[in-house]
Amino acid sequence: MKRVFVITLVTFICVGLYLFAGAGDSEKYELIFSHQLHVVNNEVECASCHGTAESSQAGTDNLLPDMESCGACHDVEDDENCGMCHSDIEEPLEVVRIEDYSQKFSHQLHIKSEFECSSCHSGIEKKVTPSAPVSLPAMSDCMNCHSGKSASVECAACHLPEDNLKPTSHTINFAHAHSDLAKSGTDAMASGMACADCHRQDFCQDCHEGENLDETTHPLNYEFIHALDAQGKEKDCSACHQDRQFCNACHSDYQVYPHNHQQPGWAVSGGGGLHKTEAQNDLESCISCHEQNAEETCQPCHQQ
Amino acid sequence: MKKLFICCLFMVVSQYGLLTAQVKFSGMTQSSIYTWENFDEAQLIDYYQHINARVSLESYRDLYVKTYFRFGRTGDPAEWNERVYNAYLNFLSPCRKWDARLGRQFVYSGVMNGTVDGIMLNMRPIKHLLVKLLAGMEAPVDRALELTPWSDGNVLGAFAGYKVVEAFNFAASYVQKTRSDDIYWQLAGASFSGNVFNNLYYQAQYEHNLKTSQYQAMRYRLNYFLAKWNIFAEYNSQRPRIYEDSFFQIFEQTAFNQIRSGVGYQAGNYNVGLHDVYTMYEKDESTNQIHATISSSYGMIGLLYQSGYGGDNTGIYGSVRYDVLKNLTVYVRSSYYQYERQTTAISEDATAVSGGVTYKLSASLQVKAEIQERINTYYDNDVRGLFRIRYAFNN
Repeated sequence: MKRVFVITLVTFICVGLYLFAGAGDSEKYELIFSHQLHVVNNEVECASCHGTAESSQAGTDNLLPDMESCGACHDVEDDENCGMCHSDIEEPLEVVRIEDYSQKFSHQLHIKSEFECSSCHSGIEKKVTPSAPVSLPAMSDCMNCHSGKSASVECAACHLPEDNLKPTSHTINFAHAHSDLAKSGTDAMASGMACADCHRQDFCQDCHEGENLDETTHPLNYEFIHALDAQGKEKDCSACHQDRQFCNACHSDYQVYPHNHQQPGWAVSGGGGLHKTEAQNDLESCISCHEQNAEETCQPCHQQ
Repeated sequence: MKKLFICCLFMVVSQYGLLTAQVKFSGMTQSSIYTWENFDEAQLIDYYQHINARVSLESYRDLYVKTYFRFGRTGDPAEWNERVYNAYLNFLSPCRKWDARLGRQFVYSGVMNGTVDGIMLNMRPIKHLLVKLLAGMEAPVDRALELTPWSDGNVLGAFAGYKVVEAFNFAASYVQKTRSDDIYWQLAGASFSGNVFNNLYYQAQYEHNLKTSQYQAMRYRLNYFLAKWNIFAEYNSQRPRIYEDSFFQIFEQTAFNQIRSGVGYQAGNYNVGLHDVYTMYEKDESTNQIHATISSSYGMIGLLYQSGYGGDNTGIYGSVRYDVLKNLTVYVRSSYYQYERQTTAISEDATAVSGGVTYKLSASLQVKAEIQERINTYYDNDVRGLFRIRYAFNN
């Protein structure tokens, strides 16, 4: 056990050191392009290359300049100069187009509202390569204005009804993993989104402390199948059910007793019998019922 | 305390007209009626009234009061009761360098976790550094409107999180719970997390129990996102949480170890996921659970297969929702499980189906009606009903 922990810790430290060494930004495109050279050094306006942004009304519009646009300043017909922009002049590749941004997003509307490009694309002017990450604003950036005061906070303001709004971070394991993410204080995981971008704290409490009337926390019939989640450790019951009477309230009232207690050799003096192994594997299942009556059932044999 | 709270609430509501001139009052009310049958086949009706409110001055929004609570007549026999999830006064400093929250609040930072009646200070002394300090009493388990005496359960905690770079966040935290001058729960925790190459998210979390001088829990997790794919793996180890005065404290507290792994793929508007949870116990026992789902904005279907020490279970579940009109949505959910608990050798099954409609009368008013039915070992036919009205105001 200790060895597993040490190996994992060493792995994480190595990854951390690797990142500190600045090796993280290794994904490169074939194109050689510096926003810094164009915007900062030569004071080229954003609209000079992204001229269609001003009239764009959909987030799926292609607003990246084509080679013809570059031709306004560069001699793109001169075969001798290909290497200035293309690292692989034999097989130049087109820059990946953005096709899956929010359909409802309108550059026109935001530009008319007198937003500067840098309001949403901050830092892009310092990029010296077109490498990832693409400088699209995260949803948390949008929420700075879309807070219900100056701009709508409704989902429908930016999203279509048929949009799949589930973030990529909400994997099939997310019901289990979300607490670590929320408690780490780092907020953002994928897509630069924080929990509070979509959920208010009451949402947490509806699941963690609510009545579950519409079966959102646990499905119908969960009282019959919960034992498999509890013993299989798929769920951490004690994260919410902290009342020490919680399990016993039903098990005692409805006389739901484990079948294995009737097995021959369940509890024998000396070695302990079958129940010893059960307790070593899953002490919590013993506690769920016997927390209330340990003095009568456990203490006669297990002296404190 | 309870009377004081009700008086304050009455004063706020009765002076609503006057107050709205200077006060920003927003929130939600939700009324629910839930009908069900007890074992004697007597029909019971539970009533729940949820209220969520946020009050601030129009001219000074850095100070606000927030509460979320419900009262209701529930149970068998039915009794009036209340649950106060949160009720606090929040102050934001003008430069947002710090804020303070006083009252009942839900806390989740590092090893500090739960509902506390107390004060929480959040400070941001330098960029990317967040410090939190907590002091208070444990809220009653049933969230009743009463304060636990300091000597019967108090909580002190601290959290510090620092984002070194996008790829490396570090957080450390500490919590202690004291009862009758004895510290009965004392945890220290540390976590590392970050986003690497814009695709790989890692997280390592370690919680150390200072009372037992053993680790309480540790989790190491990797999530890899590539275009429409996501892949994850996690190692998880955790010891049981035992009450400080429990007889079971005399036993050795062995941990279970667990490996979780899975893959997801986004195909257009569909999400496809496959998930495996493999749990190892102290005495060479193990449980394996495989879970597969396909989902979209119109519904989902899932398959579950579990075998081993935790019991055997084969299940299928799904849901469908459809917008009949712009304001009218119908939905159906259903599940079937065939399961056998460990050592019983008795196969049981459980079927459930529920369906309902939600109707949006306006942007702020919504009505919902739902019928639920369960068929299982104990009930041939257990039918329940839920009717709910939800009204959001000034949101």
